Amino acid sequence: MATNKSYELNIFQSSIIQQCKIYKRKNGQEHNITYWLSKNDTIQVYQVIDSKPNLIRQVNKVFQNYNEEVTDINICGMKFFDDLDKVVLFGRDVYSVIPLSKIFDSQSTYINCKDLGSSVVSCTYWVTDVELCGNKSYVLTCYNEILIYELTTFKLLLRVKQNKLSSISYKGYLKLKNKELIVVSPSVLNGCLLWSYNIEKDEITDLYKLADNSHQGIIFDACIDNDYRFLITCSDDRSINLFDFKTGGLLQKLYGHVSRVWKVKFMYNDDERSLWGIISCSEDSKFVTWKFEKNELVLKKHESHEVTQIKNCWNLDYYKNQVLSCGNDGRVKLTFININEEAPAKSLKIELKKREMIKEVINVDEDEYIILSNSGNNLYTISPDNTTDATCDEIEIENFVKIISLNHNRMFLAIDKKNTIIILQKTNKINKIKEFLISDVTKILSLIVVSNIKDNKIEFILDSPNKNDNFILYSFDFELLEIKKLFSYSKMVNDSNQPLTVTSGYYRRFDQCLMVGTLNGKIICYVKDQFLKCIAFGEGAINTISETHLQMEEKHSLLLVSTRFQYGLLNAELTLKAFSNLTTSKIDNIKYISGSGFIMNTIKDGYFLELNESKNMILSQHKLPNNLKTVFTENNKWVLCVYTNDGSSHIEIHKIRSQKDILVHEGTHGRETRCITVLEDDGNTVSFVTGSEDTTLKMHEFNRSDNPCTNSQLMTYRGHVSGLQTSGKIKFMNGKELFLSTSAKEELFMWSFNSVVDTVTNIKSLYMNLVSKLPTTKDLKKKKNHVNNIELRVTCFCFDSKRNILYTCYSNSMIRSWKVDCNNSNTDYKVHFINEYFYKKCSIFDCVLMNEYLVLGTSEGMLVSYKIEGQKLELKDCLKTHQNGIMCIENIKDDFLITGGDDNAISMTKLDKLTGIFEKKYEVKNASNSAISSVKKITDDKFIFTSIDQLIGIYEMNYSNNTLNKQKIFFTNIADTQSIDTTKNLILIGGLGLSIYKELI
Amino acid sequence: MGQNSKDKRDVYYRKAKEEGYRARSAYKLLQIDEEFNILSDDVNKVVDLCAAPGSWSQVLSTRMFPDRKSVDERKKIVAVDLQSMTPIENVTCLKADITAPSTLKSILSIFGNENADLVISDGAPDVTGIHDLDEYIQHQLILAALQLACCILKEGTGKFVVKLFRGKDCDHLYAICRNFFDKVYIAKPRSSRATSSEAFLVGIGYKKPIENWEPKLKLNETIQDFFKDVADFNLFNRTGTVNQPEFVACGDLMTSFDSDATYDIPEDFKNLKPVQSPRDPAYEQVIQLRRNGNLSTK
Repeated sequence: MATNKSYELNIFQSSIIQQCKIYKRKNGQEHNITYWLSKNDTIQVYQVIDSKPNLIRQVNKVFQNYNEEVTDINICGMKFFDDLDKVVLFGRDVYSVIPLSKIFDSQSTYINCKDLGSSVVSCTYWVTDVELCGNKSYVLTCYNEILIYELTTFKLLLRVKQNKLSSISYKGYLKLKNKELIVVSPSVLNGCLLWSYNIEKDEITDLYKLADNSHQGIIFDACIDNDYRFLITCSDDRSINLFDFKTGGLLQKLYGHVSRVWKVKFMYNDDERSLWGIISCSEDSKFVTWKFEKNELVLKKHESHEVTQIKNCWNLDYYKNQVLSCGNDGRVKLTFININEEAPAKSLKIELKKREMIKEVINVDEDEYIILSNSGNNLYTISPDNTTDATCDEIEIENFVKIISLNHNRMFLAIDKKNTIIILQKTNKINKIKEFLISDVTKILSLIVVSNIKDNKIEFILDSPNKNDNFILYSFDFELLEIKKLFSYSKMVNDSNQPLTVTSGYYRRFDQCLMVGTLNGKIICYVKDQFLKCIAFGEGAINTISETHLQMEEKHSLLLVSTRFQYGLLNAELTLKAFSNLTTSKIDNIKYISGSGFIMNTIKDGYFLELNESKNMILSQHKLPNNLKTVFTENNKWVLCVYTNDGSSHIEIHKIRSQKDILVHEGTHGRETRCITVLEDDGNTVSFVTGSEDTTLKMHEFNRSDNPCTNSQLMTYRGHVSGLQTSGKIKFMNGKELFLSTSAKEELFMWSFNSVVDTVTNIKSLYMNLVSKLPTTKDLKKKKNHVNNIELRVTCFCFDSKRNILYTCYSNSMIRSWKVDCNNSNTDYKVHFINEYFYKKCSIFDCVLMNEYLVLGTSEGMLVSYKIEGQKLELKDCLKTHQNGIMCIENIKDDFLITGGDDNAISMTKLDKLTGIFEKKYEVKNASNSAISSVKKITDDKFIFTSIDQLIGIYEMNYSNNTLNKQKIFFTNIADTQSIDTTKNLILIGGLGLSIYKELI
Repeated sequence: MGQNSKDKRDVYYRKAKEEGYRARSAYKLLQIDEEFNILSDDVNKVVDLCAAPGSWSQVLSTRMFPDRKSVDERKKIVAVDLQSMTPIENVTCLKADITAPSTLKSILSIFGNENADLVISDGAPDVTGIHDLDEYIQHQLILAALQLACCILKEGTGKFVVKLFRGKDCDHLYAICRNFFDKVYIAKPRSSRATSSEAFLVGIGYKKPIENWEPKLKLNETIQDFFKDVADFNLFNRTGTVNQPEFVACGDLMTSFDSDATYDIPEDFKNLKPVQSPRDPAYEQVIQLRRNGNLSTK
């Protein structure tokens, strides 16, 4: 029996985070900014150095002094009392007071709370707020009572009861004004009452009750400002109310969140005294700042930031322009907001003629822009000295169709309708330097720069609309001002009738290799002028792809390809499509930085966003003006928007913020992790995929050798229409492996997984690539009018490696079998439908293959066996092993299986090899208080299970007397525990978050 | 989620609309009754707590008054909720707080001062997503129902049915409830999804934990105060699965639908409106603002 305590073996954990705080620690004359967060009953303290979070302290088990193994009270409140050198933590019906200096003075990073001389007090009632004063603590309960404890002995001195309230409050608020303890009691049934308690005179005074109709639902938070002028509340009804604190009169009702509002807080100016506005956060994943209008006591929505994934930004804190937020996804994010408009966007008017529109914008130098309109006869410029209007340059030009940035010596190129390439330079004004009349193509359709400047040279492609023309690669020399034709390529490839249209390209000088992307989603590789290879990129309707970028650093072996809603990595030989992924918003541009992942720009809900696609987070945002016409951007340095106001055109230029938002804590998914699959484990790094109710899959990399162990999100994959059902790995006869994921709408996706090595940094990363989708009923029926039942879920699958046959089970009790052929190229998988069976009317929850039988666990508690006869299935036995649904099945050894049920029970059943008949051998009735959500074999005689109520258990199989022996039982720190996988000495557990244990087994 | 997609997903939702029930939960009570016979003929006085929108009261009404013409005067049903309810035949609806002494008084007077045979509650508080808080408030609601049940149930024969979610602190609740009934079960109707932690605690044969304990609802007293002599509220005293009541799945496997299974929509299916649409949701104003384009998300 393991003797180690489970929490000591817990080497990684991320779950819903309810508390985060910024605390300024005085250090001589300086202030150290520290970032605090709570995970269950642990607190972590971080500093941010060079934009990277650095864990400086971790205090474990802050509520521990009763029971060694209690890990099940979560911290719901965290409050600092600087003058008393204390931090108060509370959760459920307990609170704990810890000296701050003892945390900071500790010699080690990891501290057990017991060693800090803290006290844990049990209060019987849910604690909603705590105040400290002198040697007393004042605890507000959900029944609106104040419990007064002495601070050294923690003896209960007094219960102060407000008799007008008997109903429960989700949250309360305490604020000490001299000797008056002001209490906000927003009860569910009796309305929101403000009262005060004089701590010296022991007197209760009723202040007032807020008007019953001021909120239409439960009040979740309240706050009073430091000058006692205002009271703010937020509610179920999605609104925030601003009240006059003295009278309780409603001053303003604010709407701006689309879901429940959890927290509100006042914000002060940098002097930390005068009010700036308020900040709120909501179920809608956002926080919003609201600013007091100048000289008016009216609040106006200022900025909105989406900080958590899918659901619930639970809490926030701020310091100057930094906002720390935490959410359901376990993410703690530091967002930089624009409080004082330090760098306001530059706004200018531009005089355009009737029907004249801005077509191209390029940047020639810092703060200098050239603008071409659709008339083709005017170039406008913006320089740092332009403050109110854009200038129309004096240069005479005719029929310009495009200008192209060169990023060199203030030079740029232009092409016109007469097939001329013009070299221009912007000094005080724009000068023509040289012109080239092009006769290689009958008409210039586009000029695409395909390399970076090197040795004063740059390469570009000219393409023509005429299919009999070639497209041509040129080299342009800046010094000699010469254009030299390098190669020419046919527009007709592969006997296709369609000429290709080049939209992007990359030219590698050292081997004279050209790669181009085309309008119809093809990527073509040439060496010199020889065609080498052509592949299709993109899912589904390729015709809609209008743009393809190719990017590649000189020595990097990776090729980044993107379309409007899809991006991916290829190796330079185009032999391996290592990876591709879909986005939810249009890609303006994207880059790949090894170690950081994919960074892209997009416009969403009126904001220009810089996104880290891999981690699914916003790095910076810029609010765009209303009446937006077009947006131009380049190199992630600036964004220029054209908008109209009062009938005239305006330009607004934002310099993209160099300070990016930071993840202090990375977190996992926004909702429950339904499935976990380990893909690779080299003994050091574990690569695994989690699938969530939030419809995404995430690739993680867990590093054992780091101290502490680290887990980072490598990639967020989209594609499934609804929450993931299950996932797993299948292995073919030839040794190839695939990852499979399933969801509703009959979706089963097959993914290959490939190591991608960046040859410059030598960083190896595992990426998945979607290789195939299982056909749905509609695909099989080939009937146009058939509509798939969108609720039909692929609930489980199993794979017969000997025959390469895949069995899929569905929520309508359907079983389908498929032959999966894979060739050696790793890219081509063919799936052929074989058979379809219906067990009866119920859902199949799990399935397993054992000894030539397909075994099912169903929602009615039946174990079902089918004998596999060639390509056919023959029903052999049904046995009711659980009172209600069988949630999970695992074949432990030979003929023995373990099932976990919704009836809180675990059963051991034997399947007879010859007859296919089940025999129930043993049952553990109350294995847990809730449904057994997953079972996983550890060894031939041991298994581990998870239950929804956070219970984890390890049992031993006793085959000689057919019993199960309990080895270890403990509560994990992840709510809604429902998925599990193991690798070597690690156990990975998923629920509302992720937890990794070592050496449990 | 639109009405249509819910129809496809949920066979009981569809069935409830077809059979005129205000919510699919009606089938949960019917299936619990199938197993425990809680609505036997000798049941005369029933209290339905947190009753809105009223599907359980609908079941009570049809089961206790099968012959709508000749009403048995001994039989009384009282439905209590804070929200107003659309009237149901043979059910007295009280818009009241279940923890208030006056509510108890009103029920008793409707019952002619006779105690109740059955107290049921399908109530669930607004769930926030913070598990600890949701579980705590749910338990407070269950204890509030138990508190009223203690004051009104017939000793020896009184029965109690209450909804709960099987979470990590349930053992504690089980330990408390065991003191008040001869037998306690955890019932899981087939119409409640296996993939949901929802279940029902069924208490059979109400008894006082201590002989001379006088349960009394007082204004301004907490639930913990009410039970202070008969229950342990120290949540640190975990009991694990020792006190766990027997799990009983209810509903006939052969005849009832499976709530986890996906059913094809019959070809002659007509999309019916819900019997009762939600009354005054808290977010009504926001929906209105969004509809009129007055809520900027920018």
